[in-house]
Amino acid sequence: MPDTPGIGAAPLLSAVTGLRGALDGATLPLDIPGSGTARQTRTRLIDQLDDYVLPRLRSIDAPLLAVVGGSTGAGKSTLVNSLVGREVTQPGVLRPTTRSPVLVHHPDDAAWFTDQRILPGLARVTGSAPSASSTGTVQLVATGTIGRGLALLDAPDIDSVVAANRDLAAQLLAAADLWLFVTTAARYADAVPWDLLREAGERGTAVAIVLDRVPPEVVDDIRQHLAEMLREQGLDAARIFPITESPLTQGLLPDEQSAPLRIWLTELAGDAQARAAVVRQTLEGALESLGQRVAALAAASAEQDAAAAELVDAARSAYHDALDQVRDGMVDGTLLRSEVLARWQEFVGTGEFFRQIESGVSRLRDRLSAFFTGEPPRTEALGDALQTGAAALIANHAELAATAIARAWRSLPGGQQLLAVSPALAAPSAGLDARVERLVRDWQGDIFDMVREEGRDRRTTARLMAYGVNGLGVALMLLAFASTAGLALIEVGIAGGTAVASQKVLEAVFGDQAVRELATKARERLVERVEDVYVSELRRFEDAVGAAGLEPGQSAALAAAARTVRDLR
Amino acid sequence: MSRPWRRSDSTHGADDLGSRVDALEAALASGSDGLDPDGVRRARELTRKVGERTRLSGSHTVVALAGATGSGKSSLFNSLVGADVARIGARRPTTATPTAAVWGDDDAGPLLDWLQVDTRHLVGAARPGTGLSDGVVLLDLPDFDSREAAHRAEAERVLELADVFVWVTDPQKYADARLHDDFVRLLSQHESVTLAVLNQADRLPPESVASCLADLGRLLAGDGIAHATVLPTSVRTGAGIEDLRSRIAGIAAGHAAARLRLSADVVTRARELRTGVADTEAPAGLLPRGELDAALSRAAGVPIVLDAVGRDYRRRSVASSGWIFTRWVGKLRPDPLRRLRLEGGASAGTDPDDEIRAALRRSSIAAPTGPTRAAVEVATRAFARSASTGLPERWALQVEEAATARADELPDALDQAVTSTPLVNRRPIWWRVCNVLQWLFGLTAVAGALWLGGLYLLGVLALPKPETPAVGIVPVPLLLVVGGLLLGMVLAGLARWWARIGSRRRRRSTATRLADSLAEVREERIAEPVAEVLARHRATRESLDRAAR
Repeated sequence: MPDTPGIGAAPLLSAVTGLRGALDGATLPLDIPGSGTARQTRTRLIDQLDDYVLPRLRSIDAPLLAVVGGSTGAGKSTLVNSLVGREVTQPGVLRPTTRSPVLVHHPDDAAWFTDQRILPGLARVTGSAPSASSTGTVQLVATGTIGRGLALLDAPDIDSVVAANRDLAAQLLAAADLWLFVTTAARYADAVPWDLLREAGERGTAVAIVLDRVPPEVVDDIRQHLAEMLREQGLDAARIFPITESPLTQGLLPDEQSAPLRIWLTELAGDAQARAAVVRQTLEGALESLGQRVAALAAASAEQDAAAAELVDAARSAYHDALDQVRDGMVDGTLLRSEVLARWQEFVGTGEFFRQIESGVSRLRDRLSAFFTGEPPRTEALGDALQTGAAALIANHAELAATAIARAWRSLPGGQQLLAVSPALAAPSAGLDARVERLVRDWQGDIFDMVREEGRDRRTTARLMAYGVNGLGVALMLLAFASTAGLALIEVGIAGGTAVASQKVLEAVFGDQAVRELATKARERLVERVEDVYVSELRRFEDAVGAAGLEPGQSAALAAAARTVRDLR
Repeated sequence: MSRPWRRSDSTHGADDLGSRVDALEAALASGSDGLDPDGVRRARELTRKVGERTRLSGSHTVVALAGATGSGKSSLFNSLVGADVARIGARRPTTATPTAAVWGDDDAGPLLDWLQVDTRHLVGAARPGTGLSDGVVLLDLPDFDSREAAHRAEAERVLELADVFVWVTDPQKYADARLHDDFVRLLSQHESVTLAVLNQADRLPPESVASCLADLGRLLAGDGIAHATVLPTSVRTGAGIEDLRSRIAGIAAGHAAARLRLSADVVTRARELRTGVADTEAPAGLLPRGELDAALSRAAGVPIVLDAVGRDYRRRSVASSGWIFTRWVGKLRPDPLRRLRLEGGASAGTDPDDEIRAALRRSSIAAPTGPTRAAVEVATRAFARSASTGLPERWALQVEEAATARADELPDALDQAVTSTPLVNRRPIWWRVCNVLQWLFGLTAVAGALWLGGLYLLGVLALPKPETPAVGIVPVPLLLVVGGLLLGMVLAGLARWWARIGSRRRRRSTATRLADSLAEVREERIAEPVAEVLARHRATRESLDRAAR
């Protein structure tokens, strides 16, 4: 058998196998605009590679498979029966008729079709009992009336109400070396078949048209019109076999009607060279069309990546904003309002009178009143208030970030689907409040350590002892929440006074330079800890996007595999 | 605006087009923001169409022959008219523009202008025996399944306006997806104005016709037309044409078809929109508000105010019941309520000027920003979420928007609520009693001291001392000094203890009053807007149910 170099060669086969693998990996999990069509393209591509290109490349000299396809009611079954000369598939007046495909082949060619070489998704059924036919199977009929080297496959309709028929027909047509497209005088201008024919034209598939059920008086008119239409679609090479409307004899077309087609098919079966030319045309066309379709798929895959990146970006920027808000909330003194302020005033002494008194006295008073009343020392009350305020600030912004992301995702492509999979994303993670409280407590520990450290380094221990590590720690916390820089502008009021007072206390102990450094360090510590928590919150969203099953680099892998195939062709 | 579909002289009792359209319009008015925009647009177009069609001729019935190319619509049309009006041919597709045939003498011009059908054939008054009645406007439509997309567009446009659908199909094409999925299924609410015709029945073996008709009936039932009328016809043999004529005449009789079709349209649109509203909505009044109230109360600074109220009570109680000799110390401390600029609360409402002052006044409780505002937002969103459970996305968003729309006004509103709540009550009687007693004890001690002082002076000047009365061995002046001082201190101690209890009680009562004021703010700014959205949702659902009934 004459063979063009390249076609059927092992490197090409392995390149196409590689492309098949890349297609397998290129799941398009996100529901974004266009993903439905892209998924369909992918399924079609995989089907075409499995059902046609790969089997054909593996065995270039296998019999030519002619698929008889067309609209419901066009007479496909009758045509196949007439070509074979006996009833192998059951025609009927009820639509749609053919419910499971029938493959007619010469007995010598049986080996090519009984294994799963082509159409691996369909089970093989032999025998003629009609009850054996069901969906998901292909019925094999061996008969000597058909030439060796050619097989006929009676496909279901392409346009009836039964969607399963339409999908199967598309799959079978994709597996064909030759389309025998059956249409009728009433059908030949229908939109659905022409969509398929246009695709066949673009792919270079070998096509022959059977124009069935033509009233004898208009044969030439319609044939001419159909030829014009075929020319428009670039299918000039397609032969037209008109069959006039005539009474059936025993369910078969009159011999003179089916003869031209039968003779053409028999000649094709007998002429290895012509057969190889048909096979080559269709195979070349299929390989040719791969490039463009894989490129479309690669673009769709890139879009998926972009959509995923956009989703992650939305989540990142929400937590970024939340961290900024926390940072702002810390420096603009808002934490020092209300509750904290009240506690501070208790801490340093409430009245204007006592405010002037040496803090040692007030400390003594605190101790005494704590001793008599059993109330906790004021430093603790103040520390608690600060903790609660900071914890609420951090937890609330985390919650707002989570709801903001959920809101953003609902309007972003693919986001709705991820939220539906894990609805818990819309709220912060379960243990967040506890985690934030621990965070603030740990931070307070940091502060106390810093105060102790600073006290050890300098000869300030005596003065430090006068206030207590805790008292100074709390004062430092206060100062961290009201940087002097932001203070002058924003909060000249009571909170400012508070911070100034605590700064005075600290400066008295450590000196002003050290206090500034301490306050900055304390703030940075807290921001770091908050960042840790927010990053772990953010990871939930990143994981949700990751769990969708998007592999990075799919798009590039597809394009590379398609390139390899093109280069080898 | 005139409402032509509100026709009281209706000859058909069961005609409820008017109430259906009114219900649909009510649903659009209350729910257009929460419904699918495409559905809303289609529903608006429908109400306009209903207006236009009902304003036009009520005595005509537009019957459209629709179907695939090659099913023989034009042949059937010619056969029904009894003349070769529509062009027929073998080349597909044949018919590009619709053709109309009008029976009767009434002027159908405006109606056909509205339908934009320019090829018109006037049959004239129906002759007895032809079967078709006066007022029938028969349309031959272009096909909807050929490669010519313009044909389908034209067919769809006219089908949108027709009153009666006659689906013409044939033994080859009767199971096509295009016919069933794209047309019959979408118009399945229109069963009463739908006929199906299996044309070219002569192409079937006579014994198969019945099973083929049954199969078509089964497919139509699958599309939603449970009891479709399916007629076999053949233009070539003339079979079934007469039956079709009389069926069409039957539907056209009484001129109800137009309104039936429009009613079915309203039902279809209403059902379509109905998927955008939930079956129930949360009871706005019964939703938990505890978390929200707690956040609002913190944001309004209620804990600070309550602390100040408690301290103020104790301070004032010391001022009137404290030991007379140390009371002045308390005066050095600042008034906690004055510091928050809340002291005038008690008199609010008695003086007309106070109202103005109250309106202008801002307390100096720090405005809630940062953490408290975030807490309020979190609680508000949680409240919105609980209110929107089970609602479709668009409605849930509206609920959330309604709950958060007035967030910027909240700080001021909260502040006004706190400042307008009376905080200082009348002075308790026991303060006055204690005051009198403290003065009495103080004066007694002072009198005793003076007496002792006098005695001491007399001793210094070596003047004769008068007899000093004594109780037992203790002289009365000493008793007066010691007793006055002791009793004063004990009373002060008791009063302090009592004031602590009183301050707690005062705190509680103030907390209740503040909670009531804040609840007003919460209802007005958050809960009521949410309830309003829920009410609109309910109204929309009920209107749609009425329209689709």
